Amino acid sequence: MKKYIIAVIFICIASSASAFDAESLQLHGFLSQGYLKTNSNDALFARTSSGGTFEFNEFGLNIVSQVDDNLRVGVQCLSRDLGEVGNNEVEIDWAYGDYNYRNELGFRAGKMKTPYGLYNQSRDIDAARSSILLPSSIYSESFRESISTTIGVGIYGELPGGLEYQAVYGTTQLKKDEGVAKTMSQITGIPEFVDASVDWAYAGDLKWLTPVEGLTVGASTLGYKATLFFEVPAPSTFDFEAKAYIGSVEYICGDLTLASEYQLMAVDYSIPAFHKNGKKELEGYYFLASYRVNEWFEVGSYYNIEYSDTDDRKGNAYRAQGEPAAKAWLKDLALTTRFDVSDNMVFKLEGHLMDGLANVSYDAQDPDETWYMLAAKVTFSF
Amino acid sequence: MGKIAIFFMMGMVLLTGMVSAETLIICHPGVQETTIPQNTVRKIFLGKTTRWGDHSKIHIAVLKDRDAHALFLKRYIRRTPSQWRGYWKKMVFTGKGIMPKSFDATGDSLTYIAATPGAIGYIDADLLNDTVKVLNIK
Repeated sequence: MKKYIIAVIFICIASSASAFDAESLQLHGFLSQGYLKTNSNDALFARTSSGGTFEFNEFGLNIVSQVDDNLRVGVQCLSRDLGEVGNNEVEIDWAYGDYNYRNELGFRAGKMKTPYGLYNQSRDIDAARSSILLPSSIYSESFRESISTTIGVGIYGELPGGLEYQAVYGTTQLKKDEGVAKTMSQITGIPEFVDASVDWAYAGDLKWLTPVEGLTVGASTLGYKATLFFEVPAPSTFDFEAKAYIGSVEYICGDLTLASEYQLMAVDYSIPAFHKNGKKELEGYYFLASYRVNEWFEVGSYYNIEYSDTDDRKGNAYRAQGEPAAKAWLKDLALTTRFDVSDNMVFKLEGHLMDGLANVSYDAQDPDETWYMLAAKVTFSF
Repeated sequence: MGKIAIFFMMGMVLLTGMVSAETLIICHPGVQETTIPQNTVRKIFLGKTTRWGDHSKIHIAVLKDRDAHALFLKRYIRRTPSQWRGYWKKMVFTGKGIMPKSFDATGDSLTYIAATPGAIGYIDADLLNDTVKVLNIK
């Protein structure tokens, strides 16, 4: 049924274009296939140890129509797989109308990419960045489906002094068996969730294109209130409210790009049936540099640090429970390479030296706190 | 010594000829602006500024010619061709913009800009004609 709805949306947009020319109607797509391998531990919801995994891909197709000088409508379908998440189900990634009649103010309505940090809106687009994996401290796979898109309304525009803003309000996606549910399952010990719903969601992003050429400073926030339903050990709900804040800096000078972001995320939760409530505060930051050596080769590196609880950065609580203290953090030193084989084909290869076990599946008998990950990916886009 | 001086001067002339092909920012004759800041040029071609001062829509035209395009990007946008491609892929795959219209031939770009109200593009100064307006960049 979903496939038919998607096909109908595509046809409607295509027929809304007054003529099939490059300015009124455009069709674009991308195909990314990757490979992940770790020397120990399983990461990113995938079986990355032993033989590695090819369950790491994204396929996207969009059609956009500039209906008139003010109105643009479009839809993008996305199919992705990352181990146990995604499984190549075809979904509407975004589908919205954009009405713009002033530089200062534009309106959007529909399903939109959530403005958050430097790269959240473009995180599915491998060809648009230097590395394969974005720094997980900010662009975590654990919260990806809930912060990726907002379904509702939004405003955006540019203001005097080099300021740009975006804001959205509505709801967001939450699934019973993807990143958020798996993460909450780890926190609470609830083995499985059977349903999920979101009450509301918002996000706002402000960027300042400073007078220093190439230097952009930004601040973002997002939040949502949601419920996960479970049946075992007894039918009840897990209610939570997540709020997050990011400070961002990016400097582009010729072939050199430098970026850094800091995020603080707070999750307030309650389980009424167990008379239990609590709060977790997650923290993360990274420093990134990339350099375009020539038209076909780019090299980069980043250092990423994340803590799963700001009250326990050393993991004392985990240690007290007989678990590895390293579950409290994940530190990632990445070295990335990018080869632009042509304008429409990119190959990337990168290595990660990891320290920590936050959001990682490890062998409880023999936890390996220091481990390596290799990622390779090829992307075609048009 | 004289031969060396002549050889050196010829080299300078050739070199000057190679880099003096000035890239001009041009627009439809109906555009009200006559002078715009370089920062605005950058924001227009990056799809951030989408309206002229009278709020009419801006239509961007670029050239497929790699050398001309790279020269324009370096001079006005301060981006490399790969950064430009990456940037517009972000815009296209997030629905925030549509790819600028691009032309194989400078003549076709000129014709488009001359015929499309609100259009903006760039051209080698040697190929300029009076069907379009040159914008002064401050």
